[in-house]
Amino acid sequence: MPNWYKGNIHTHTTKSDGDADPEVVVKWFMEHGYDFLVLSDHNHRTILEHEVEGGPLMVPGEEVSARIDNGSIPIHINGIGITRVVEPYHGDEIVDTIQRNVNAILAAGGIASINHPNYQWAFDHTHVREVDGASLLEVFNGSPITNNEGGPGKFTAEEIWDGVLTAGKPIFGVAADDSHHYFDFAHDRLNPGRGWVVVEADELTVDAIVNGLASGSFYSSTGVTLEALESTDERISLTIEQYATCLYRTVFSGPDGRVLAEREGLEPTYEIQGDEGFVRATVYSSLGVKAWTQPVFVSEEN
Amino acid sequence: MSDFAWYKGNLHTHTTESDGDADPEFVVNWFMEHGYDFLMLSDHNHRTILEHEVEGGPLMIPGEEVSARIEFGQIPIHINGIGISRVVEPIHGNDIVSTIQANVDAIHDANGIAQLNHPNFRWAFDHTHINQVRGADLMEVYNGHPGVNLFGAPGKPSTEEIWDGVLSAGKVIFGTATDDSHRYYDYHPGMSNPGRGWVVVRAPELTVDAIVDGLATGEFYSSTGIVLNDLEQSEESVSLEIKEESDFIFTTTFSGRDGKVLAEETGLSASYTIRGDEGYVRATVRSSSGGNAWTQPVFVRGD
Repeated sequence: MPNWYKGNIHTHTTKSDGDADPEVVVKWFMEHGYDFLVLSDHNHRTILEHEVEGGPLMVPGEEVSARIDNGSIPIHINGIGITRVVEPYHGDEIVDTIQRNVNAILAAGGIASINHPNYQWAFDHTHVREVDGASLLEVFNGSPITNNEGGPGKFTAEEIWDGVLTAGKPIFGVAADDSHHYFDFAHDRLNPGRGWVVVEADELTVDAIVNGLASGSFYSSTGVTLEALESTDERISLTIEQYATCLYRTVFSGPDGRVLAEREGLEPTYEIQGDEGFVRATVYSSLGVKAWTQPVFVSEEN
Repeated sequence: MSDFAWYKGNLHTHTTESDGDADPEFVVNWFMEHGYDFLMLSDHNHRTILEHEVEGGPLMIPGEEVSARIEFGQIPIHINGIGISRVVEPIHGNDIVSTIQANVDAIHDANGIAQLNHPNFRWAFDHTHINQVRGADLMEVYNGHPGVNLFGAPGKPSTEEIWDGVLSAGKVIFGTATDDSHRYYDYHPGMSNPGRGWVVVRAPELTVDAIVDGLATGEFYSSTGIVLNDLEQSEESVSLEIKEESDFIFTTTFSGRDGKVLAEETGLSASYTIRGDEGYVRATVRSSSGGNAWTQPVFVRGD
C-alpha cells in the first residue's frame, strides 16, 4: 500500500549561502512535518555529520550551479540522489550548458531538477525543450527573487512548464523552497515552508523517493493537500483535503495551457478524451495556495 | 507636499492581550526590527497599551479589533477601531448590516476610524452588505492571515472584487493591506506571521493624529512587497513611480467601476489621464516575483 511523503528538494545551509548549519535546517523541517529533505547547497553535496533523531529521510543532493556569459546567466540544476559531488560545467551557451550539467548529474547516479528558469530571466521553455534527460522543472520556487509570476514579454514559471510539455517533452513540475534564511522570517527573506512535493511511494527510502520523483508519482503544493490522486490514461481524479472554510477550484489543462475543464468542490474528475496531447490539474484554494498534479500524456492511438 | 513623508505601518496586530502568542513588547520589537514607522496593536475587544515604551520603537496608534459574532457565532464581524480614545465594547447583533453599522458607530463615538476586516473570513459578508453601511473608512483588501479566503472562489468574490463592489456603488472606502499577525515564534506560510501586508501613509509628521488623518483621507497606499517612490493623484490624473528592485518587472493596472481595466503599463512609472466617465480610478501594481501595491481610488465626477 503506497503512502504519501512530503519533502522539500531545494534547501540551502551554511555549506553554501544559507544562514543556518545543516542540523538546524533539518530540525526546522522535522518540526514542520516533512518526511524527507534534500539539502542542495551550491556545488556541494552536504551530508549530515550526525543524524538528527526523528528527522526526515535525507536524500543526497546538490544545486549544481553554473554561470555563463560572464555570470549574467545562472544555470542552476539540482542533482537529487547523487552518489558523489558533481562539478558544475560553465559553458558558453544555454542549452549546451544545461545539457552537460544534466548529463553530469545522471552520470553521478542522480536525477536532474531544473531550477527557477526566471531567476535573472536566465532561460525559458525554448531552451528547456531542447534538453534531454531532465526529470523535473520548478513550477514554483519559494524565493522572492525568482520571478515566478513572469511579466509582459516574459513567461510565468507555469507557462514555461506548459511550453516544455506542449513540445511533447515529459518533465514533471516541482514546488520547492530554495530556502536560505532560517532565523529572520519576512516576506522578502528566503524562508522555508513555501513550496513542497508529496511523493507516493511504497516506502520511505532514498530509492523509493527518487523513483517516485523520476516517474511523476507526486504532486506539488504551496498549501493544498490531496487525500487521493488517480491518474490513468482514462481519467484524472483528485480528492482534496478540506481546510477550514476554504473553497476549491480545479482546472484541467492541456497543451499551451488550454483549459479543458474547470470543476468546483473536493472531488474533481476529468475523463480523458484522447486528443488532448496531455492533461494536468491545478487546484486553486480560496486562500491563494495551489497544488499541481503531474501531466498524463495522451497518445492519439488510445 | 515637500514637507510630507511616507510612513510604513501595520494596522492589524495581535498580542497575548488576546489570542496572539507574544507579549506586546515582543511584538513591537519585531516591527521595530523590520523597519516599521508606526504600529497599531489590535487585540480582540481590548485596547492594548504598552506598559513601557520600547526605545526606538514605532509610533503606537491606539487600537482594538472590535469582534462581534452573530448567528450563534457563525458569522464573525470584526472591525478595527483605529485611534480610539477608549475601549469599544462589541455589539452582537442579529443581522450583518446592522451589526456592522452599530460597531462602526461605536468606534466613531470613541473617536476612532473604522476598518472592516477580512470579509471572507468564514465567508461572513461581502459588498452587498458593506454597501448599506454608513461611515466605514477602510476595508482590508489584503489580510496576511492564512485562513481568510482572500481569493474567493466560484460564486464568492475575492476581497479585491468586494472592494470594487463597494466602490462601484459609489461608496468611498479605502483598501488596506494588513498582517492580522498572531504568531511570532514559529514561522510558516500556514501560520499568521507578521510582515506580509502593510500600509504606507503620506503625512506631514509621524504623530497619531497625522497618521489617522492620512488613513481617513486615503493618503496612503497598501502593499505586500512593492515600494512606491512617488504617487500623485488628482481629478485629472493618477501617476506613480515604483522603486526598482532586483530584476523584477512591474505591471500597473488602472481600473475603474466594476473592476473594469482602463489601462495597463509596464515599467517603473505609470500614469493614467482621467477621462471623466470611469466612476473611479485606482491602480494595482504587480511584480514578477509576486507582491502587489494598491493605490486608493480617485472618484470621478461625471457630468
